Amino acid sequence: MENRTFDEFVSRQQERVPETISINWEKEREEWLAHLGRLYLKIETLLGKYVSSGQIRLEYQPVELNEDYIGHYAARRMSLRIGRQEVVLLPIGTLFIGSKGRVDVVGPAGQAEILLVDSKASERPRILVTVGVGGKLPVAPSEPGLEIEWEWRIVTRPPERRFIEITQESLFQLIMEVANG
Amino acid sequence: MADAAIVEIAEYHNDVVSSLRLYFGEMLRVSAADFRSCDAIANLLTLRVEETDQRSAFFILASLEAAFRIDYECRCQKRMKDDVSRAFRAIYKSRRTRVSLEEDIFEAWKEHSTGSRQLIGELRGAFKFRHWLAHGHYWEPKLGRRYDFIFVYSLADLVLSAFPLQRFD
Repeated sequence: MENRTFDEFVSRQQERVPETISINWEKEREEWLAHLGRLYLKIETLLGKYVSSGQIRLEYQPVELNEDYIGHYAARRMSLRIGRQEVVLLPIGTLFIGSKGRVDVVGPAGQAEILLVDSKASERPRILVTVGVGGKLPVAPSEPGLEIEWEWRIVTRPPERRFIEITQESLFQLIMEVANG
Repeated sequence: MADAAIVEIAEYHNDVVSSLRLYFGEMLRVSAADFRSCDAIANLLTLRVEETDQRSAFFILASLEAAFRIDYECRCQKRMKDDVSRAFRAIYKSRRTRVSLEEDIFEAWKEHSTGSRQLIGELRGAFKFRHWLAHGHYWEPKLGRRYDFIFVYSLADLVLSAFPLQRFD
């Protein structure tokens, strides 16, 4: 292999380092786990009537997640036992563009997705890549500066990918879809 | 609206998963009295759906690679004046179409555009997954995240709507 190729490889790795320094990954992880806890609490509340009557049994099991920069860490998965059916809420991770977390809802008849997204978003985030001209890079559009309010949303399957608010009705629909098809 | 090629892959994926569930659902119904058979059928369904998920993710990534390579050739042939096109033409002089997606095309985008850095980082990770799939899973990959159809589709959708990729008319 030519030295030049290796030189280029090494210099590219140096460029990548500064991007990772300014983010507090531990804080990111803690925020995501706190949001996950709030999602579980919301689901417990929405299913309260069925849980208190014993028709649905809620259980939590530990799971280990692994993500770039954060590494391995512990989280909880939630399982809903409805008669002989089991529906599991499986945390996937927090590092996604335009989203702060993903939980898969897995049942015998299918799988669905819940994302932690900007409460104002109704669909995928918008990013614009602009090419430079004459050796000058265009100025990146400035951030609005407002704090994002993260909220959990049910996301419809690709290719549609529509965000749906989690209400009792949408949650019931989701559980029935993944449990019964 | 998402890119037509990835929409078609997603629709095909949904049809295949629905068909698998229908087929194995019928097998489960027929074997309902035999619990051991039911477990084996349910496990097989899980495996088939996982395999389909990976295949669909693979095709999404192949489609994404094609979009970047077509853009590369298009920018070279049209002699566009922006910095990405100029960087591509410099590469084209020595390597023509034998160009590396990750080392040449992604690098040129990263250096000569704004807004692309984070997406390129995500694409590099996704293409590690694609290489692993394309080479028959013969090594244990260190991917740093779970790659599945939903993730790969979302990334492709984001990338194809973000990058001003050129096409031949």
